[in-house]
Amino acid sequence: MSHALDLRQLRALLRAYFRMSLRGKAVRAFYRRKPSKLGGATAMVLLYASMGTVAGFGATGSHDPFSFALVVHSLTFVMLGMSLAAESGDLLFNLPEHDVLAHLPLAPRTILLAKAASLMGFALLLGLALNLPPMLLGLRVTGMRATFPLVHLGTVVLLVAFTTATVVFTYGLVGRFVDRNRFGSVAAWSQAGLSAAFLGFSQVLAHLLELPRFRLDAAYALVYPPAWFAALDVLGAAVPPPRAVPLALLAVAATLGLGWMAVARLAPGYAGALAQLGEAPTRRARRARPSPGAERAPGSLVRWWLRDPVERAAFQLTAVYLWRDRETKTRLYPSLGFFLLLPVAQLFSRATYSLTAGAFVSVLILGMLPSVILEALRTSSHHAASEVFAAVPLGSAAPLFHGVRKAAIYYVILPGTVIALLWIAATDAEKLPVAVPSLLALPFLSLLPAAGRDYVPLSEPPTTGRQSTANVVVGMLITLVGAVVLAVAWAAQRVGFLPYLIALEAVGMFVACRLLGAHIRRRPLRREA
Amino acid sequence: MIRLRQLSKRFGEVEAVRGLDLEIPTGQLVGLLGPNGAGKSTTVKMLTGMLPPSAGTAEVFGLDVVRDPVAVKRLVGYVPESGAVFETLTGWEYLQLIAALYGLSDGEAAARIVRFAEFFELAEAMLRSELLAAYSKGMRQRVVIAAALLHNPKAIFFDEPLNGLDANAALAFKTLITSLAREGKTIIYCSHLLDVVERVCERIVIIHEGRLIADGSLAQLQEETGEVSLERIFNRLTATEHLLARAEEFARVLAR
Repeated sequence: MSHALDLRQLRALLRAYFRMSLRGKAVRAFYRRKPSKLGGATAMVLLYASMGTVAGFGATGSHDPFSFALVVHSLTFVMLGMSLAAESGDLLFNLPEHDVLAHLPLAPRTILLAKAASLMGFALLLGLALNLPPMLLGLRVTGMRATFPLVHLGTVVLLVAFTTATVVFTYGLVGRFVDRNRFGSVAAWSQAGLSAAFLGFSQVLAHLLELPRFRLDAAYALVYPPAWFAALDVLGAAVPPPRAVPLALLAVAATLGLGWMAVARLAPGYAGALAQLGEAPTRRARRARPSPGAERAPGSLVRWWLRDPVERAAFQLTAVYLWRDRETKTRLYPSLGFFLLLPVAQLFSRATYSLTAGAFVSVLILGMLPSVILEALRTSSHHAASEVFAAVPLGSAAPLFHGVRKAAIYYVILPGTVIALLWIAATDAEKLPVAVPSLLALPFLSLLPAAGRDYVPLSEPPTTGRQSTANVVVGMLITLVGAVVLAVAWAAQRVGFLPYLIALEAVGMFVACRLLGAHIRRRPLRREA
Repeated sequence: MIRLRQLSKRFGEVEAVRGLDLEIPTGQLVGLLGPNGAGKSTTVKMLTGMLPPSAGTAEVFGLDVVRDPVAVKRLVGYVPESGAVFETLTGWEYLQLIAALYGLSDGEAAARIVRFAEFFELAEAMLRSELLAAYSKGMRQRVVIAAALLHNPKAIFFDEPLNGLDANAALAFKTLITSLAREGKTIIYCSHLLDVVERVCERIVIIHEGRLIADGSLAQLQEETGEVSLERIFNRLTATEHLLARAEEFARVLAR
């Protein structure tokens, strides 16, 4: 097999990826209604465009073109980085696709470049949606020239390439240096690590928003990639400040260097890792690792909680997938990492947040977890196996859903709640009751993923953009609603109304849970007709 | 008894099954044949309550598949063509999952799994410790067949069950289904392996483009068509004309 890049093959692969992404999915899911072809992508674009509009308006308050460009590029870098971290596993380590392509005379770098380009196409869609409003709004900034929209378009494309190259490079490194038995697990953790790194950059963004002006000669501009791309912006569309040229050169050099390293140097390692993942695992690796709760009988209270045999079976299936399945881990751990680290990150932010605020952010985050976990567990490349749920005598998908929901509660949400409460108690025990209204909403929030349609675990094929969009939508909605609930609880405590508020909400949530639970239970399990 | 009356299924513009009428008495072993896309799997999925028909009715042991699909599913077992399993589970965990979904207790399930493992020559230690991802295709298929039989169904639908099985396992399977039929189980066997159907099934049903085109014992079909083997009968009823000549012409073109 030749190791050279074959442009005809590359074009054919890109055309196929493009077609498949436009058609929604290569394989139809068993339980879904008609799959929407462009609905998901449109929603994603609108979502990112709305974020770009808010960010653009916010950044027009900047004192100079560089500060404006920096805020916009920082947001783009963070949002794209986290989206790519959540999505890249499905694309880069798609084993069914490997079965199709592995025997063809394709050089590893051709496949990797096609996948990287496909990933970049996805990121470009999001990046352009996010940056379209700021491209126009930037013209309102004093000192910005009329060339800004065109220049910014170019720098956004370059930033997208840089971010994609960073993600592909990371996996290339993992593939090259990690042995086959640990590759799946290390890839999942590297993905979570990437998420955490981008989260760290988001804290720099939060810090930037608190500054009146960003200084180009600050030391960390050299290690903060969005600053390099902002420097490129001002070089083309404003009077460039000193040090803009070296930073701009850094942007171009880093993108080219990382891209070359990722595709040209690390491609064989990536191809080898993918081939090893596709092979039957070695004796040591194929032994099933015990999953907490999967075989060992939990306490009597949990046994009573899982007394329905179908719920218990779905609970155990979920536990196994949460602990053992590489694909589930690569999809879920980065999202969980982001949500779990966010409150911790508040501790390092100097101006706006305090220790107590960080603790309350953790309560807010708890509200996001049910949807994030349950949506991730709806998807699997083993989706064809979920046909078995249609063959067995189940009148409704409700017990399957409750089994998965209870696993999410047992393994993540419950420990998270205990940690959040301990954190609040340790920092400001008097504020503990303020968290109660948010916590009371958790059972209801955990029912929402099955409110609109059947929830059948592992039944839908992975689709690019699904997890990151779910994360963003859930994050935005819950932050908004959760912040209001926390503010109301805070105010109620100040006027002595909190106990009544809690009692009222408890009754309301109980009724809402019963009604939604009954709705989910009554809906018959149907496959696509 | 399984009874179909004008059973039809339409997917948008495509009519996959067109007005099938059929009666299958209890304990009969029926081979359901047809070319690719003839509507065999769709018919089986309607009879197992997995897919609602667009028109017509189907009854399985007196139960309507539309009105009471859950009760129908309790009585039938189904081996899907895909043979897909949750690969992250061990064989034991997968069979336990299926047993739980059929409402078997853990103890009852364990006893049955051990029995099936013995019959299908699946070592219990391997079943318990190794992920299905590591099983060969044949071993995985044995697990899928065992899963369909765990709840002791009255009727069993096999969709290409011999996929991936080696000669010994295939022989064991053929013996098993004839024994099951003797025990009074109704068996619907979909396959493209005509020699197996010819040897094992007492009745052969052929559908083509969603319609029933032949129904009877091998002897009856031989008499009706004047052909000797099931392969020739099948070819005569379903293949496009001049198959041999077309194949020779294609090979010549390819060799140029």
